[in-house]
Amino acid sequence: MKRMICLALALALAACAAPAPQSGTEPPAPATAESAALTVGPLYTLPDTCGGYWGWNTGDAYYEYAREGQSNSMAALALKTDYATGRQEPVCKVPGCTHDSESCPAWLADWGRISLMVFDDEVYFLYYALDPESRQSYQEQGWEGYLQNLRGSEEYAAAGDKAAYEERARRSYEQAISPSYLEKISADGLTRTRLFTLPEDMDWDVSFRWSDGAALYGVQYGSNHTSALVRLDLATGELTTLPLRDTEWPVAVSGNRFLISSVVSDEPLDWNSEPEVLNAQLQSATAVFSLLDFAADTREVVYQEPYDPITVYNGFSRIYNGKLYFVRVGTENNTISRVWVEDYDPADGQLHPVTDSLGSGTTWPGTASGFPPVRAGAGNRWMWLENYMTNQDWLLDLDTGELHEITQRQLRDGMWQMVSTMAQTNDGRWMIGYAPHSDTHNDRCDYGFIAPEDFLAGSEQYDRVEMWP
Amino acid sequence: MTRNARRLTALCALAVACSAAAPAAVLAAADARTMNTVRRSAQPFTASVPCADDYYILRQLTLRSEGRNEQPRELPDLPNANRGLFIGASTSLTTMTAGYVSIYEKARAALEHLADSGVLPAPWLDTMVTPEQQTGMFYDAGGAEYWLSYPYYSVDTLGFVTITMFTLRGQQARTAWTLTLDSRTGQVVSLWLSAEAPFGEVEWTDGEQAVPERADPLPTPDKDALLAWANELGLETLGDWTEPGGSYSNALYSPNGRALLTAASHPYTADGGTYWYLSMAVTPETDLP
Repeated sequence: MKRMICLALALALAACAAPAPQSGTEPPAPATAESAALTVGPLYTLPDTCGGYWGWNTGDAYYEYAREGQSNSMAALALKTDYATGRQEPVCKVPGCTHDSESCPAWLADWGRISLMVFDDEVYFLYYALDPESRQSYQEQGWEGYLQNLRGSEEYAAAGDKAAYEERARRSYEQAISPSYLEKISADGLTRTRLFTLPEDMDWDVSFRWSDGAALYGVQYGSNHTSALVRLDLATGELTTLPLRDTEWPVAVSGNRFLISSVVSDEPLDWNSEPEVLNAQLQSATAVFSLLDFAADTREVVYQEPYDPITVYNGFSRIYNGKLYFVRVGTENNTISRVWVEDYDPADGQLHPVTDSLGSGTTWPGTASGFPPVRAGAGNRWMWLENYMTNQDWLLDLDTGELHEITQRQLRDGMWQMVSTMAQTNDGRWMIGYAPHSDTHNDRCDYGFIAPEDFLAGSEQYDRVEMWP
Repeated sequence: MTRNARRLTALCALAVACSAAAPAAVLAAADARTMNTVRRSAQPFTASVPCADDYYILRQLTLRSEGRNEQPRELPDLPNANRGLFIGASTSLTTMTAGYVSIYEKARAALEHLADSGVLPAPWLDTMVTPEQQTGMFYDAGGAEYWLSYPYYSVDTLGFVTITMFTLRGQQARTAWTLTLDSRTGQVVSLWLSAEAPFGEVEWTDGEQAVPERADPLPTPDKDALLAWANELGLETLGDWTEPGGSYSNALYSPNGRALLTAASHPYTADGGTYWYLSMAVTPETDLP
């Protein structure tokens, strides 16, 4: 009897074993053992190369993939624009290659969900898989079922070469059921190999946006305002996940750390409550910007101000040279009346206006606008701003605060738009996309080099790049 | 009796005698044999450190919080991971169920009890919109009509009941007050009351970013009120309620229970008018130490 009582007591005590609370310290990082040994190097923002419009600038060359000529083809070819030679060529160096089939290492059968990246002058393709449910449904349908469906479609009926159409469809099907993977084109341009495949069941609701050259970092979207930072090691394919706190959202990188935006209040925000209740809470909430150390899971608050429900992340645009840049929106009678740029300087703890109002039709730029992001440490000095109502475009020089109106235009998608600022070269030139390359696909521009001061003065005298057809 | 039998009897007697002489030693040895461990307690009859799992209401709140916050797959399993099926309560007029007089009276009684217990300041109780004050009807975009004289309610699969009184402001049906209580114990886990600005005049400075000057006679529950609420919730034995600091400026937090009690009161604008709200909640809090 006593034995049973003792045992029962022991079980009860064991079940209630609460860890001793440690006051004044951060909660322990729940990530795996790897995170303790992780070093995060100087971080930079990745260009969004999926779809082929933007590419990757190394300072000496521009890499991208270009969609194949025919409008119903999903094929693409990886190209390199060499700033020294002024020529654009396929990354493939196989002698006699016609760059139009799987035997070419730079040729993609289906560019869908593929991002191009460049590390140490080598080209990588990262394929983002479909979510597991979609993949499963394709697998259950099977290739035969998929093909039957296809043969009943209008597009199939209109296709000239049915065999070629089915071949392309087969490749698309195989891609649709594939898990995510990373491939690399060898430095000599002769082969493409798969480096690793990611777990079959990984739900690719992750968007990789930053890198330190050794790993990719991205955000995994949770529900209800929770998210996680995910690290993918480029050498091993290993994934490390760092859950973030409620409302925390990584918006930029600075040095070796992530700039996180979050919303705090004097009570937990209830995202499940009735909209008016949440609205009322948010009117007294605070937007906080802090720097997160990924490996240590520690945060350092950089700046906070009253939460603004009208703008996204309070209008935060980018962090450059340690200053936080905001695009502010002023309203009168519930209508936007002014838009201007302001910065917060941690050095003096003050907000400073950077521009006057650019007009109410001004859209605020993404953190990477101006030029696709350059390599780590260089930062993104130029901010592109546009007023869609007056059709004005500017480049704002964050080093000097000078606002340059840009008048050069290209006719793209039936509209006159500002020419595209593609890259800053290591030798001090700018590469501009001054016109669409073809009528078939709008993903490419014709490129030309120009000195920055000439471009800012309105010149259209570009040193044209010899483009790949 | 044989000589062996005599020896055995003697040994037995010796064993019994020893046991009688030093029972604690014998029992401890028995414990050690049974459980491979001996637990010594300085105060043998005091309970060990309380934790969230010891309290029904905290278990319920944790399950509700985890049920609402469906985690991304890559996150490690949370303790108490809710492997059941959680269906949340709706909070909007058009999807809640029209209540009746006893629902209102239950809600009223719950708030009166909190006022009597020193949790809810009486002036805030006085702002509670009553059925007699409600003469309006709300019509939604499809023309469906909603009587506003009684509160609406909704339930979730954990047994939390949300009761909301809507009122017309402008042409919209807005929340005049709402509370959530546990259906088995009647304990209020959150409440929200909205009062019109005449109860507290507000000066807005700087048209872009409103920075109101507080001038309201509606008191915000203080730390004593929060402690009284902890008692009402049966959580006083957590024994470690302290101010958490950080952004939670009017709050009490128990690290043992990982439970946070907050009371916040602020002005806000909606539908062209200015109002004050009081919001109180007990929430499971995992981001504090």
